[in-house]
Amino acid sequence: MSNNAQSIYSGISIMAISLKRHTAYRIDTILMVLSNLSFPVIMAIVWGAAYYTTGTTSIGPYSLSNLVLYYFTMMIVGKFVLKDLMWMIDYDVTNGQIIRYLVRPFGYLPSNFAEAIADVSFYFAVIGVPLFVVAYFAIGINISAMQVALLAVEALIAFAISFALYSSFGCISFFMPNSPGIYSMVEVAVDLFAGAFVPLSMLPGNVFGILQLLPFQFFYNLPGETMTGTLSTSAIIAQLPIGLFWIAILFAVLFFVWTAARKRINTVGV
Amino acid sequence: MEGNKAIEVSGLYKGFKSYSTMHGKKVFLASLRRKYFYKKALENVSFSVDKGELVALLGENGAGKSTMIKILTGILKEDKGNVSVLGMVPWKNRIELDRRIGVVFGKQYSLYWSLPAIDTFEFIKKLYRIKDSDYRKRLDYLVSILNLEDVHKRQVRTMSLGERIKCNFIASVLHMPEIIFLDEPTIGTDLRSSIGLRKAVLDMQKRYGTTVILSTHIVDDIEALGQRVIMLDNGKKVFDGPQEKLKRAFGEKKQIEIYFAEGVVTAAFKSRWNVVDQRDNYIKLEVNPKDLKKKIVSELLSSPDVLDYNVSSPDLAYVLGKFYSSMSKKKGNQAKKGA
Repeated sequence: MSNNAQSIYSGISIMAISLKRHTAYRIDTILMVLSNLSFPVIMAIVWGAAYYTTGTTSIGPYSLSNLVLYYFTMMIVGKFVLKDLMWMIDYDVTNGQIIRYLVRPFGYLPSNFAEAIADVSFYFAVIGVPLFVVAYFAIGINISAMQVALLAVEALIAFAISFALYSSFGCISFFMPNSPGIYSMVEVAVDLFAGAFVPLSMLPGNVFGILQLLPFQFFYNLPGETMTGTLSTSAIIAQLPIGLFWIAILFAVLFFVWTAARKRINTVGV
Repeated sequence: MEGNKAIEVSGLYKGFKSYSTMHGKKVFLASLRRKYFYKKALENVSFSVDKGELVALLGENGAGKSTMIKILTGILKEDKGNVSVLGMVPWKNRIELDRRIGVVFGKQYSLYWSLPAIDTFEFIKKLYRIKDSDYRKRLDYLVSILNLEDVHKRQVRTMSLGERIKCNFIASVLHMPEIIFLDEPTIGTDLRSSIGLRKAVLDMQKRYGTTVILSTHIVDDIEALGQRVIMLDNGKKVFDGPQEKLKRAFGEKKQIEIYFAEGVVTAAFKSRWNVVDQRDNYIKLEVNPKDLKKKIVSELLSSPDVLDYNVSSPDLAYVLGKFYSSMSKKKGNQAKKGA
């Protein structure tokens, strides 16, 4: 068996056991579905109050139902964004757990990548799909095959970007172990630039223009705009090369950060 | 070229940059300042290990044992020197090497906490591409030698510490590695589990010719598994040879335990010989073997106050204690000379 085939086979084995691990906590999974459902509901109440008190039917290109659909999409496609990765790496480094990966015939980052594929598959299946069904019946979704295809591509780009981005930030723990302050700051900043609080098109034009050149819009904003149809298909397609560009840049950064981080492993702790 | 050598190390150096800070109420601001220093973890260490050998790496905390194991397993890169494990440079060929070695860190589990241990074993089977028949045979063998029948089918989080450590051992050796690195493998285990693990390691060495490198502070482990001993002190190799040679070098004197009749004063013995231990009617002395026959035994036999006595060679714990104190003395003298 060639090295590449062996790596793929090992990756599939890691994915399989990661999926199995998720099935161990069934009640927790049900609670996660409910907590994920609560966010779009809360947003519907908050924004509903804003629309009702101001007597407006739309803010920017968004009607209330469109905006709620935006938040539903954010929760569905957001399952492809690996926010927990930097916390996980910090835990592995600070508690010395990284050693268990470094004595197996598989790299630490490839192992994380395989586990991440299993994680997003599981969360999309058990949280994303039920949320879509709820949104379909509650709001009424009218979606074309083209939109579905674009959403799939955006989700994959979001997965790749978030893996490289959060892994790079997670590597900070090799230099400064246990840095929850840094990770919290990163999370808030990325959420803001990704459109987790409000759709980016609601921000001032020049800010929106800059954010469209950054990688974060693939996490929430672009899928939200794709689902709600507030951005044209051609405009969305024009954004995709930006995503591919950032994947290349961020994986190059991750390579250099990981190479430096690997040298920081010492005998104490890590 | 591998030849008969499992491990070859020559002129190995490894150091770390570390820092210290000041502590205490009055030095709050000063504690923000870090004083950086360079710590030599390993200094000019050379040795080789033949295939099938059982070697114990010994030394006090910070002697460099764990660093050595991490370099040999490819986790750390050496600063200087040559390291070859099964004919490979560990740092460069880590993934290839990991297919042929097994590593047990007593403080780190490679088991999936929320799943039965058997699921981790199945995962290892796939990861190392172990044939079904081999897997079944090896698992049965390891489960029976470690008394884990049915235990391995329970969730890891419901297991006792000893059961977890034994299952972790299985997960590390299921692919029948050519070399097993054991770093504090029995830490926290009860006597029965420790004996089971030692038995399994010895059995693997005898049956399959597995090379074993052990790092531990637990004397019983060293006594059972350390046929050859490599002692490290402050990153330097200070002894390399059979365990018996170490015992002879630092335990050349015999020990004699004497049990007296009640109320007997043992001052006569105390004044003439080195006392190792003493209780009510019991005394343990350290004596030269030639004095033992000529002077002491005849004296004991003629004394009506002596109820019983027992002559023995010092145990390994005593020998290691003497070794470490001789190293501390040596360092103290060197420091004085330097001053």
